[in-house]
Amino acid sequence: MMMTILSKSLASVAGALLSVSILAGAANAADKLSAVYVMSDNLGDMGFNDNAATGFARAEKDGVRTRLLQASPSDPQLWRQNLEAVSNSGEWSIIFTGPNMHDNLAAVAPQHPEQKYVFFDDQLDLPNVLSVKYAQNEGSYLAGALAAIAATDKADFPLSSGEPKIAVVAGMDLPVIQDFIVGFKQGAKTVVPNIEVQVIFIGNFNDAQKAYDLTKTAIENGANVVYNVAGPAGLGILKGAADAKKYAIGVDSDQNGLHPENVIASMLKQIGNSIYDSIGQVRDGKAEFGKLKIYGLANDGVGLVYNDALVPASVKAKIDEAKAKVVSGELKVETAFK
Amino acid sequence: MAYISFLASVLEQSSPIMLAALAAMITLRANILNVAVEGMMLVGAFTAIAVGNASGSAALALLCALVAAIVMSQLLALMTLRFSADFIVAGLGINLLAAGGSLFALEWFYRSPGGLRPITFPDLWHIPAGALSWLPVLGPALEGQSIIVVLSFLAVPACFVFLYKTPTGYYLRASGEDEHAARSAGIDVARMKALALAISGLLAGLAGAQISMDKLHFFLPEMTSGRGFIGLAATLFSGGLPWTTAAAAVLFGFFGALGDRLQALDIPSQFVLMLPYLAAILGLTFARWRLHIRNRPARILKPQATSEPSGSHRADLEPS
Repeated sequence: MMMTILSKSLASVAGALLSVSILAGAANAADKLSAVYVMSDNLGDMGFNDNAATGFARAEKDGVRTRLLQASPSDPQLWRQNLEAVSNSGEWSIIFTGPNMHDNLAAVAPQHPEQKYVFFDDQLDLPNVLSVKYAQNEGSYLAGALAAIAATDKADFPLSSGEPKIAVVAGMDLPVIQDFIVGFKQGAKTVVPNIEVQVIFIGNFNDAQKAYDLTKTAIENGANVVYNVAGPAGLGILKGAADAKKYAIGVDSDQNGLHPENVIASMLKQIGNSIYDSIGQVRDGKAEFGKLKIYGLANDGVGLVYNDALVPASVKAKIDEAKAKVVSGELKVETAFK
Repeated sequence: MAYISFLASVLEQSSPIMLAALAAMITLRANILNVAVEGMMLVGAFTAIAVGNASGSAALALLCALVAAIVMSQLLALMTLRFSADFIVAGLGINLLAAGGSLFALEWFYRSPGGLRPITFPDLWHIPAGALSWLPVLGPALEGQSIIVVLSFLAVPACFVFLYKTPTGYYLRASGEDEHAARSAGIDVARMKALALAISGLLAGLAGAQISMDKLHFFLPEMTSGRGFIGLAATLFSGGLPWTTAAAAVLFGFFGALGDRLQALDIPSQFVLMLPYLAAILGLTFARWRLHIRNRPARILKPQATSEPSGSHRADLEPS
């Protein structure tokens, strides 16, 4: 009950903000670029959404008018209402939307053929929609390579046993998660062919205690490095690895600071960068609507951020070598999407 | 060594489920199906982290978690016993209030709806290593467990003694068995039910604190992940008896820990994740089947009572 009241008031606030911005923006809408992000979640997750917000913040500094419409993750009707409202207003040069919005966008976008949409972390083939996806398999490839080195190189990584054993603890067995796992395994095997990769699923994205238990079990089975692919529950993975005095690799945002002695790197999807990039392309008239753009290692859409205190330069050089091979096309990273 | 870590894992995973199961059991004996255990656990988990973050004291955090969960239970008592709301509907309301309220507090006080993760957090008391080396097998498995795990196992005999050996326990059970008879015997039924809910809140608060405070030291929305309902299931299929309920909770803990270890083998993850629930269904079926056998009138058990197929029936079958 509280949630509905809350979301209703949110809706009315969003509506009010919208009408105010329409009035204010009417004068300069024609000459000034504007971007709105219709969200299916709230900010403050220290991951996906906050990362996206950084892209809009950068664009705003360049003089782009931006607005982020937050919405409760448990109120799908509000997401649709917001999308329809901004589409009907015709006030925005670009409308951004992301996860969970596939069906909504598929219904709304054809009714507004003149309106330009950018749809990220998903794909929709419509002439006025630019789809943006991330090559998490390529980023995970580097994470796998780093994990394999960290597990076997006892001199540089003193917490490791030296045995070629690593693990990935994932939320659910979904295609996008499998894409992480496929890349991670391939990266690890390129560096250490006989490496053993345990693949473990929590069954959801919230149960941090289960994530902690599974991480502990994986480490008891010999894993030296655990890769977190579990969204919010992943905090339990990092804590589990830290308590067991082994290494972990973070995901989605820079999680190196959470356990500075144990998290050796984080694999980032640079959602903010891609959004900033897309806005720039629209401004320059180069955006290819109707197409799918993939952000991978080549255009810094995904990448590793190292914990400099734990990863020595010689290891970074090896990873950079692996990255160069992927970027040049010499090596093709496998994907779960076929 | 492997079996010790397995046993330790069973104890640790059983603990919150056992507390949740006992929380549901106490109210079940007062004839209340308490679906709000999950919500009270979540409130306990959140309060523990919020207070521990603010005060730096693990003891105070645990105490406040218990108080907060008891307050939630008394809110449920107020709605149902004073204002005659339905227990299931009000209980689900408590769950929604806990989920929405904790999210609201995260946004309002911490500006972070994604979760609350203090940089440093006071540690609970854990059994020191080597303290129980005189105890074979169980000793090493208990070492390193938190005070709440110990309390959860002590709560079983405590609940047994309370229900069966104290006058208040008798009154509570009488209120659950037959409200009118209890009332005519001079028992304040509403007070007994409110007491059952308060004890339930205390146990659920402990369960919530175990999840957020023992190892993780942070709070996430929905972090209790249905353990309250698993506890409720454990109570229901053991018919509200303390020792059987504890056994059922340990069964869940056992299959949870077993599942964690089976993930290392090449078994589909979906099957492994299904194990504890499969065990629950089998356990429930077995318990019901035994009850059914025991309560069957004697004449059905006699062989002549089983009906033989009639002649006309056979004739029907023959042409085909």
